[in-house]
Amino acid sequence: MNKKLLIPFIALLSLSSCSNNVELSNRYFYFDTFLDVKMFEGRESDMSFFTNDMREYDALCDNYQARDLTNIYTINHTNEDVVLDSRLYYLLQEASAIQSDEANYFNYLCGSLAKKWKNALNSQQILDENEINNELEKMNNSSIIFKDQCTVQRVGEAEIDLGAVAKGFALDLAKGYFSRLNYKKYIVNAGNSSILLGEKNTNDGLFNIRIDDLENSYLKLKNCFVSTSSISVQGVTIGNVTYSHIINPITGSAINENDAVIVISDNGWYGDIMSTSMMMNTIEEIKAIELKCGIKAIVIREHKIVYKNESIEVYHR
Amino acid sequence: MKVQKIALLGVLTAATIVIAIAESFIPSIGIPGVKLGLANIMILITLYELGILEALGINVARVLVVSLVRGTFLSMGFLMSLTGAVFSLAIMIVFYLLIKKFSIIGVSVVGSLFHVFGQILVAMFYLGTAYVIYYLPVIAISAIITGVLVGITAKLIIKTGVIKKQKERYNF
Amino acid sequence: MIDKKTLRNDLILILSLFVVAAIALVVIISTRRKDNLVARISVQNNVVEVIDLSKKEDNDYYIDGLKGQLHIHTHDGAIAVVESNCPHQDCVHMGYVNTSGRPIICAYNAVYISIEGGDDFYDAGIGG
Repeated sequence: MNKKLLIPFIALLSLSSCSNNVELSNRYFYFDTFLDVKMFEGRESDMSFFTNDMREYDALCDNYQARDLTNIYTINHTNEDVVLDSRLYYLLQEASAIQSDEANYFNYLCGSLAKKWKNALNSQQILDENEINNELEKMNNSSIIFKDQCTVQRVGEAEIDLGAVAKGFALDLAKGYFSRLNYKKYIVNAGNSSILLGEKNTNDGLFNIRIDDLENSYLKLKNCFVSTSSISVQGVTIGNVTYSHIINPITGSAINENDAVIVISDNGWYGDIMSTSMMMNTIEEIKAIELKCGIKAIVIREHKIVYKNESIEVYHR
Repeated sequence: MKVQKIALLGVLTAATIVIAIAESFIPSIGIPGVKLGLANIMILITLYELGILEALGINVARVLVVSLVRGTFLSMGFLMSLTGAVFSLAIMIVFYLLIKKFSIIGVSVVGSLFHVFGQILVAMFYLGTAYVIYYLPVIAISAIITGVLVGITAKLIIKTGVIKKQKERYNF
Repeated sequence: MIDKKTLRNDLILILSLFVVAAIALVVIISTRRKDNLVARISVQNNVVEVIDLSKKEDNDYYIDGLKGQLHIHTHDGAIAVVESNCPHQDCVHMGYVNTSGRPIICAYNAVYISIEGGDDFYDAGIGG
């Protein structure tokens, strides 16, 4: 009886080394919000990417204060040449390139205008026409010149704000990291506004993603990025109108065409930018953009879906 | 202690650990860490055939070894296992020694229930009562069913007389 | 080891336990209201306070965050950060929240207030 038990015991012991019950999770506070990382494979030491690299990236994108690395705040307070970390340089280039095309309502030089709107709304006031026009003029007269060796130079007085794209790009970096390690099962949630989905540790690998702007509705997704912009959390209602933190860079208005836009894409930074920009697009325009860019969108107004890409299934509970 | 008894205890401990490791791969419904409690088969057998201290020893050894092997030592799951094991053995001893009105199946059912209670108590501490209470009835029902099955299995194994023969042969 | 008498006792025991559990199941399912909300306040990943919002109590909580103290208030089933020493005051501007899924975050203080409806069906929420 003793010998017969030994072999299965050893077999089980060795089997247990390939445990499939792993769930590693950590919460960080980056990009002025939370970053929840959950891995269904790998080791605790793999989290070092988020503890170190991601912390650096958070410092780079900070436009509110100077940090230990040369960051957006630095660029915004000088007109001299600034040498940047390659990650930031690359992100700025991408952000600058996309402005012209389909993301016609995205402008990363909105920083100063956005701050002024925020201050006004926090005191329950609408930003003055003159101020808006001033800021728009500043933006039109400003640009970022990209030079060699990751050097940039800011021309003019407008300020860079990467809020619309930083989280998405962070998720791209995370996805690249997981790819290098050959991990496929993870979910990284940046502030409930940008989510990177790998696969879940279940049979179908789908994640249940609740849609906060709707009642009891959710999506089942995997292997994609989900980005959203919404007026519900940071919106301020004055009179009958709700003003959001998403500013139209062409008119300077804080009133959006849509209440919330959810974008499903293959690219974090792209989905992020589009979900912000499309807050000001009409449904017809959004349909055209979808076709052109290979993304899928859901548009919400007054807590109801007014448009949904036909390949997206919305579930109810 | 006689060598043969040690050897027998070793086999029972190994069997307990193997069952516990095998069942730890079965995912828990609702509350993470709540397991079926199949390893109780061996604990019951040890309790009935060899004694209280022996059963306690095997129980503790099982919790320790399984947590080391599965890499959950000192985690919430480990504390849940430990509390569950202690609670279940305690109530089984009470029923076995004092309340002689129930057979091994009855003892197994209470043992199984208290195992789950112990685990849930720790879960409440970590996850909050509101969240855990919702799953309690479902888990309790499954614990009762498992308890019956475990009890029947233990009874069948004891009935084969394998352990009894060892005891008589080597006089322990 | 098993005779008719103990077997009968067993059956009574098992059936009564079963009945109790079944009743509890019915009770819990029928009283499970959709708005049985629970607020969970964590600082740097450690849960420091769990509040049952469905009790609709008026209460004050003073939570020590990473860089200062937050004054949190519950009222009529909703929770809000009333005062905070953070520069952006985003947490304060969120006001009273009583919908599950929208966390109140004070990144400056590493404070995360989650509002949950009782189960973990969802892996994440998207919105705001």
